[in-house]
Parts: sequence; structure tokens; C-alpha cells
Amino acid sequence: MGFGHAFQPFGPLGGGSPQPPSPFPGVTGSLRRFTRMQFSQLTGIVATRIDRALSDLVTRYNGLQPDDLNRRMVARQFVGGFSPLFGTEGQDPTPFMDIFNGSSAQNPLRLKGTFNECATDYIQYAWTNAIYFPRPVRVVGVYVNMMSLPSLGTYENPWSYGNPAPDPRAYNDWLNDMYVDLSVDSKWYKGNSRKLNESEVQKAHFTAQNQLFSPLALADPIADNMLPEYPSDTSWKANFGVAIDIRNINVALPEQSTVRLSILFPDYGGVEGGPYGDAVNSGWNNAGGGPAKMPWANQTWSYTLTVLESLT
Amino acid sequence: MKFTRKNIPRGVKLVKQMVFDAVDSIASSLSSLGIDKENFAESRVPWQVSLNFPVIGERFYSVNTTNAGSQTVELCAPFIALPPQDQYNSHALQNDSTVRLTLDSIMISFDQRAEASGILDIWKASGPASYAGGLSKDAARGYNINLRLSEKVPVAFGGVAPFLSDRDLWSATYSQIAALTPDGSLNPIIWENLGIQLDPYKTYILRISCPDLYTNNACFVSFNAVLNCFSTLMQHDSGVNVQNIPVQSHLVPTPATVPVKNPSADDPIDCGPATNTDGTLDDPLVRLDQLLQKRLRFGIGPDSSLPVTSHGTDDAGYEMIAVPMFQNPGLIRRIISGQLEYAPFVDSNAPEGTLLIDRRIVPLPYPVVIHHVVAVVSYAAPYAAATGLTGWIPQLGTGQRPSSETLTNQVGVALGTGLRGDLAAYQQVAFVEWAPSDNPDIDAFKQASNGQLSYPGSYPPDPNLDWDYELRSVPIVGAGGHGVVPQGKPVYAGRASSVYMERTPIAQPRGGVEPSKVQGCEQFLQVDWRINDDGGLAGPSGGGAAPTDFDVYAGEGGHWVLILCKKMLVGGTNELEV
Repeated sequence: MGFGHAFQPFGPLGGGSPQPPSPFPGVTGSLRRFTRMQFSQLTGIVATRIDRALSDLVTRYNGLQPDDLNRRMVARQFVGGFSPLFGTEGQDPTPFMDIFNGSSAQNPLRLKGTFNECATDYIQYAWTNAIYFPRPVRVVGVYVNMMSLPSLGTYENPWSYGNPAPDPRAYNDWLNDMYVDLSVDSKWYKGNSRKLNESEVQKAHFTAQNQLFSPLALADPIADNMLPEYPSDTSWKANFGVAIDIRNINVALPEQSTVRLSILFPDYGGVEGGPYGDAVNSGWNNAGGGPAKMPWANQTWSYTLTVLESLT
Repeated sequence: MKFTRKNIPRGVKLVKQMVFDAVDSIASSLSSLGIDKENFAESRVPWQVSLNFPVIGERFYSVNTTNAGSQTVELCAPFIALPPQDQYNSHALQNDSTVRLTLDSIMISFDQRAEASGILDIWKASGPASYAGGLSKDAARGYNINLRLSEKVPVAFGGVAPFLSDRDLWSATYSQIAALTPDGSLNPIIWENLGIQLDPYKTYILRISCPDLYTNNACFVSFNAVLNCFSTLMQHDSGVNVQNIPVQSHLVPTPATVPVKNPSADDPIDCGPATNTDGTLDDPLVRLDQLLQKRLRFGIGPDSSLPVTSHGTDDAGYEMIAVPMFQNPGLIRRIISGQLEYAPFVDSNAPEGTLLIDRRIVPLPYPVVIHHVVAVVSYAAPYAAATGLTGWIPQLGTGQRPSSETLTNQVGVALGTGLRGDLAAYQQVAFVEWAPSDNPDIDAFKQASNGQLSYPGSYPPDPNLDWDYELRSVPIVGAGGHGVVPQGKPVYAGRASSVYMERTPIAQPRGGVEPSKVQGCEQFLQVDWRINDDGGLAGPSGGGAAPTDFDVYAGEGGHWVLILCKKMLVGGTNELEV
């Protein structure tokens, strides 16, 4: 196993004549990108100089660098997702896990910026996926899809608070307690200590209403264009739920970075045997009267992480 | 095309050909889209096989503890990277124009809650309030992982029973000690510089063995395996051989104009000035240098726009979007006929359930051209011991490949729009339906010769029909394309500004060729997988059509849909944000 190649903050320019040392990385000692030779008034026609210039020209155009291209990146997409299985009480929440590790742990609260004004002693669950990038990348998009059905009894999340709602929310308020975090740790500037994770993108304190897949009631014929066919129950056809689409973020990361995407929601109770019982009601438990008192099982989960990476 | 030139000979008259031939050659290539991959010093395009497993539970590996003598069970992820349709050869022959695919590194990661600790599986949790996912140093002793990458000849290209892999290409071991590193520096971990050539006509299988997981009550949460690969540069798709391509350009680039003015035959070769005298030596050099300073134009914008003028067409690379389906975290981590009450989206209208559906949505921030779609079917469901507090998690017998005559699987991929938009619609890209009696058209794979992952759906087991995983074609809509089975031509998928919304027609799933239903406004790819049995999905105990209570509809680790594409260079300055 290994941990990558030597750090090169700027790629070699390649081609052309040997350049004099420059105090500025990536800057040659010439006006020209491919040669040091210049021809203008008061310079002479000397075959050796022409030879050198033409040789530099041909060498460079036979060895174009990614830096010579206006567009030199390609998109890479990392997709994850699942539909939770159901079950009886005490069902397995994994891959979601409590963000509180315990007061004696190295990282008692392993995610930052997750304050929820509804309560201070609640449970929060996070699903965290880590991708290591051996080469520099630019994170350009994070997409999180939480799909539910408005009325089927499975994956039923109305994305609102029930009755009683957790203080200070009110009955029928839209959920305002989801959280998406993209953090980075890198050998180069943060070490590997998870205490030094840097949160680069956070989406927090937003209402579900603003992030619905569509605020419109999608009509039946929409899905008729696609196979497989769906049952006549319209609730199966349309996409319903929350779609968090964070685009054009352009987070540049050095090589050997680890990107951790966390998706987080609270649990206000409703899990039988849990510390809060059925104290409050919300889309995360059985606000809609669905079968599950398990907040992780009220919707299906998907994410897509999109990065740009250069030719190499 | 590589450029060449001869050194200027000494002692002879300097004539214009000695100076300007090389310049002319380069300028001519630049003016005729002639800069190709041979002109690039670095022309490897990164792509990946990204595999996300929400949970790998301990019980998957319990058979090796409870059934002495069985071969080690491995959770497998088979995949195939078929070449783009324009390079596809039905005899699996490769030539100089076939894309070269190289595996460069393999990364794995899993969630330890930012601690040097293991994660407890639910089965040995101490009570209903002590959910799975608990921290345990002892559980980390289970984090010994044996990884293998195997290769086999697919059935479509001559592979035969017993469907075992032909050879191993790579293997590695991850030790539990690494998982206990205080700063977590060995999770993620990567094995680099592998340099393994991938044959686009072979099946590859990533195998994950965790022999100590069960005895240490541990599980892997958010297990990610990423195979970082490179492809060579290819010509991007253009013209009428692509469905749904923007009419405005058909992705045919406009050549740039690079004027270089030569001196006449006997004119003196002058040095400069660079700015205004035709035929000087400095003039073409400045022009060609300025092109580099302003950068050569290739690729495509996120709105499907080509550069106003381009310098070449070798600006595409390979892409595989691996979409996980079902995946099954929860109580039993598999979907079987005897435990349908745990299954997702099961149709509640019928007591025994007739329908399972799963759906993924993948955004399209940049255009791709979809060439093939492959469904990877998992029947991996080894014997699992009863466990959990008071043993309320049931023992599960080894799963069996379904054999109900009324069972069908349907997989569809569509372009979608309507994400916070006024227009909501789908346009089918690929679709397939199969019954259990339809043998897989690309490949079948068995993990081990006396493997424990599944039984074939017949008794006594037929060795010619004994496999644990299937790879099936999901044909592109229409006709005239190339692939393992007859299918349509590749489909362009990309966002568009209004100029690029008008598209060429695309075949419709119910017949005919029409303008795209999403009207050039695609925002995402939607992948749906439907499992249907009109006789009921349940086994005998539930009154359904399945012959046993262990018929597997989705094995542990879940199914996958692989979307095989060409992607283009992107990411230039002043990109339009769409």
C-alpha cells in the first residue's frame, strides 16, 4: 500500500528549452510559453536560434500539457443510496449512527455545526461516507435525495412536524432540522486528525418546503413515459420528497484529501424504548401515522458527489 | 498526429521551407481539428468504479463459523466496462482504436464514527435501546479484510460453466491494527500505482472477505470501495449516430482559424516586427504561442455548448456511473420471499405482496453520452445464524435463485426533468425485462466452487445453472446500435440552455421515434428497478408463488445498475452555471 506521489503544486510545463530558474513556480523566464527564443527587429537570423525555436515549437505541440487546454477537467460521480428495510421495534439504524460518541471519546461530537434549536438533549443520526482522492479535485456538486411517498404507509414522511411538535416548532410547520455537511481532512494542511476536519460545505437550518423535489403535485402522465410501469396508485409514480441540490460550489482540494459527506437528521423520540418515548411528533417518526417509528426508515436515501479532476 | 521537422542544415541558403513547414503543419492541424491525443503529453482520463455498501453485516460471514469446511464466503461486486458502441466488436476483438482502460488504485473506507474503534452490529446489541452502531474497541478486532480483484471471460464472449473466475489480478489485506490507528490515518486507505490493464470484454469482480467480523460482533458501516481508473482520450460522439443530441451543433465542432502567412518564395526571411509584417518569422511563432497562452479549445460546457471554434475532437473519456439498488440495510439485509414484511416499497394492496420497487436519482451536472447499461443482479444470501437479543432475529437458510414462473424483473433508466422545474417528464433511455428462465446475456458468476452464497433455483442443483451473480444488458432504446444484445444508438444526456434544447429524435419505449419527452431539459438520470410477481412474491408460508421462503429478490450488497458513458472535457474558465 502507498500514499501517493510527491507533492507537486504545479505541474511541469514540459517541452521547450530549459528555462532559467524562476523564483515563481510555473513562471518561465520568457514571454513565450514554448520557447525562450525571440525574433523581432534588431534580432538576427541565426540558424541555431531558428532551429531552437522551431524545435521548441514542435516539442511543445507534440507534448501539450493539461494546462494548455481551456477545458482540461472531467466529471466523476460517486453515487450511494439505499431503501431501508422495515421491521419491528429497535430496528437497525445503520448506516446512520448517533453523532454523540460519548464524553470520554476522542471526538465526543464528531460533526460540527449541528445545533438544533428544538432541543438540546436530542439524538442526531448521521450517515457519513468518505472518499479519498489521491489527486487534486474540485468538488462541484452535492446532491442528496430523500424520497418518500405521500400516502402509502411505507416511506411516509410528510416533511412537517406533528402534534405535539418539538418546541419552538408548531404543528404542521415544515421540517427545519436536516443537515448536510461536506468536510475535508488532508495530510497536507490538516494532518489526519479528525478533530481538525474542515467543514467546506454546510447546508443547515433550511425548511423542507424550500427543498422539495417539486412544489407542484406531479400528475400521473409524467411517469407514463417511463418503464417500468407503476401501479395505478399515483403516489408511486411521482418523485416526492426532499432533494438537496448543491451545485457550482467549486471547492478545490489538494491531493491526498479525504472528503466526508454526512447527511444528518434528528430523532425527537418515537422510538419505543428510546430515551424520549413518544414525547413529540414529526416527519421523522410517525407524524403521518405510518408504520415506522424509525426516523431512518421514513424515506429512501441517495446521494451523488460530483468532482472535477484534471487529465493526467 | 505527431509533428516532425528536420534540423536546418548548415552552410546552405536558408529557404522558407526550412522555417515554415513545421509552422504550417501545426497551424494546419490547429485549423482542421487535427490536434489529437498523440499531441498530448498526458492524455489519461480519470474515471471510477465506485461501490457504496451502506452496511456489511457480520451474519454474512457466519457460515464460515457455523459450517466448517465451507469455502470462505466473499461479498462480491462484479462489473464490466464495455467499450463505447463505436468501438464495440461482437467478437471481443480490440484494435488500436479501442479505448485503453487502466486500473490505477483501489481505495476503501468505512465509518468508525471518527474514533479508533469498531462498530457493533445489531445482532449482539444488549437491548432495544442500544442500537446497532455502538462503539466498541473489541469489535475492531473484526476489521481484517481480504480484498481480491478477479477476472473472468463473460458468457457473452465464450465463458462457460461453472462460472468461476479465471484468475486473480490483485489482492491485499487490511489489518484490524490499521483500524485502531489513533488519528484514523489508515482509513481511508489506498493501494496505488497498480497499472492493471482492464479488458473491456471481461468481467471483473471485487471480492470482500471479512472472516473475523462475525466472531467479533462487528459490522462495516458506509463501506466504500473505489477503483480509480484511467482511460485514453477518445473522439467525442457527434452527428446523427447519437440520439437526443443537440440539433444546434450535433456536437460537430467548428474548426478554428489559425492564419499563418508565409513569405513568397524568394522574399527575405525577416525577423519582425511581430505585429504587422506578413511573412516574418516572429508572426507565426507569436500566433502559435498566443494560442497556448489563451489555451486550446476542446470539450463542452455544462449547458451542452461547444466552443465557438475548436482545435480537435479527441476530448472524450470513459465513464462508469455505478448506481446501487436496494442495498438492504435493516434487520436481515436481504430481500427474500419469507421475510417480505421488511422489504421496501412492497405493494401493500395484496396480502402477499406482488411488487418491489427501488429508485435512484443521479444529477447531470455535465453532459454524458450513454452507450450501454448493465444490470448487476445479486443473489448473495448465505446461511445466517439466528441472533439478536433473545434470538429474535431469525436464522436464515441459504438463499435460492428465484424460479417462480410469474416473476419478472424490470430495469429502466430515463432522463428526467421536473426537479423544482415547471416541466416534469421522463424520457426512456434503456429498459429490460426478464424472467427467471431467461439466462443472463452478459455473464453469470459463482463465488466459489462449493460456494455458500446461494443455490440455483432447481433441485437437485444443476451445475450448468449454478451462479450467485448475473450481469444483464439493459438495451438502449431504439435500433441500429451495437452491444451484447441488439439495442439503439447512444443517447446524449445533458443540461442545456435554450439554444441547445432542441434535440434529435429518440426512440420511445412503446414504439416510434419522437422528440424527447423532456424537451432537452434533462436534469437527472432516474434508475428504477421493479420486481413483480402477480402470483405473489411470498413463499409457501405467505401464500405467494415463490417455491421456497428463501427465494432471493435482492442479495446482500444489493443490485447495481452500471451506466457506461463517454464524457467530455469540461471545466474551463467562464463556464455558464446551469
